[in-house]
Amino acid sequence: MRDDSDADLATRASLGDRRALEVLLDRHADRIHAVCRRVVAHPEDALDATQEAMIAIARGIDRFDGRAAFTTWCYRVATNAALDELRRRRRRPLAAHPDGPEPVAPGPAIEDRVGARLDVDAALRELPDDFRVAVVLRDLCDLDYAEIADVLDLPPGTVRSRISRGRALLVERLDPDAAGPRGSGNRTPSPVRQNDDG
Amino acid sequence: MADDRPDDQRDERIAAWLEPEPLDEVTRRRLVATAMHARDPAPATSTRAAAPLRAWRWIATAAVIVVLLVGALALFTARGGNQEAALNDTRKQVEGTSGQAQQASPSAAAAPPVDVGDFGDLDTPANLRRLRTALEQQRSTAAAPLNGGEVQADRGLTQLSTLTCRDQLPAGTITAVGSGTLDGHRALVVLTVLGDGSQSIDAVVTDPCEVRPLS
Repeated sequence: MRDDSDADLATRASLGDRRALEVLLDRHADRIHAVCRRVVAHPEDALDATQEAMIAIARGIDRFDGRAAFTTWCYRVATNAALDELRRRRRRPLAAHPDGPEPVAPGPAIEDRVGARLDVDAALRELPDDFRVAVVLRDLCDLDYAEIADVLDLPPGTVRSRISRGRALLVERLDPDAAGPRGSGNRTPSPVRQNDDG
Repeated sequence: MADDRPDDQRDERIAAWLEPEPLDEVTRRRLVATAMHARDPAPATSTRAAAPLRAWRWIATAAVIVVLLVGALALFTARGGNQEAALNDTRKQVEGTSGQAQQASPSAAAAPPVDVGDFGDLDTPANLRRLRTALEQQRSTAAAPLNGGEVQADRGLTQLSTLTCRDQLPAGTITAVGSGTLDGHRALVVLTVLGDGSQSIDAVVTDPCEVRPLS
């Protein structure tokens, strides 16, 4: 069963085969978590979103119609779970879940140890949600524009625009030198339009 | 949509930045187990597996009920209903009063009486004549009753069994029954084959009960 295709496993799972569903969930757990991790940009909240996404997949496998690839369907569910988690987090008190940089004790040793991870999370949090999701689906999940448009229910032109702007903002924050004069020395988030139809 | 522009390609540098550490084994198993449990809190018997079992249980129960009903119906039919029992009593009574006729004409006794139908106002000579003809024809063709004639005759015999004056009928075998009205009263007209092979046609008028010889 470990070698069976996603489509076969999904078909059997939708017919009530628990073992097939278990294999599917185990197989895609890392990718579902990766989407949630980068969209939510917070490790603990990302685990909550991952759990919600996997529960949604387990309960909704009957509705998977096979028109899209199973991975695409998983990414759609994971994206929605991550965005829901973001909305929940923003309703919580600030002290419980700060939206800003994670509370890390100052000191060069700790920064050296976890600096890279903190930089990515901090940079991602500075991106508008729409841009962040589009970049994650394109560059982390390797979905093409049409698939992203399908997952986000957006026109492809809008997807293209969001990816382009999101990439530029991300590079500006993670590699200012490479971002060129526009990004060099400027760590303040650039004003961006939230609803750009490309 | 095909990736036909340079910026449509995956940015491998960003992909490397975004790639998180994989889940550890314990966390992944916990996530999967929780999702599986959320789908079906009772894993021993899944809903889909239990549904056919429940369906078979209902089918088996329904089959038992149907068998019991058919059995009860068969038993009731074999014993006969109250009406059938009363009719049998009347038959015995009629046949008992015509034992002599049965010995004289066994073939006639074996044939069931036939109802020739309702002929309306029997005070009208034409109606009475047609009834008499029908009764006599039934006597000559007793082996081939009209369609449904036995059922109707049973109905006539049932009515006859309720009349107290039926004892005034001549002794013999009733082979045919008709009906109509005499003097505005309901009347059964019976053809009785007597012991000597002759026949008698009599009307049994109801309310008041009275037997009138018509032949």
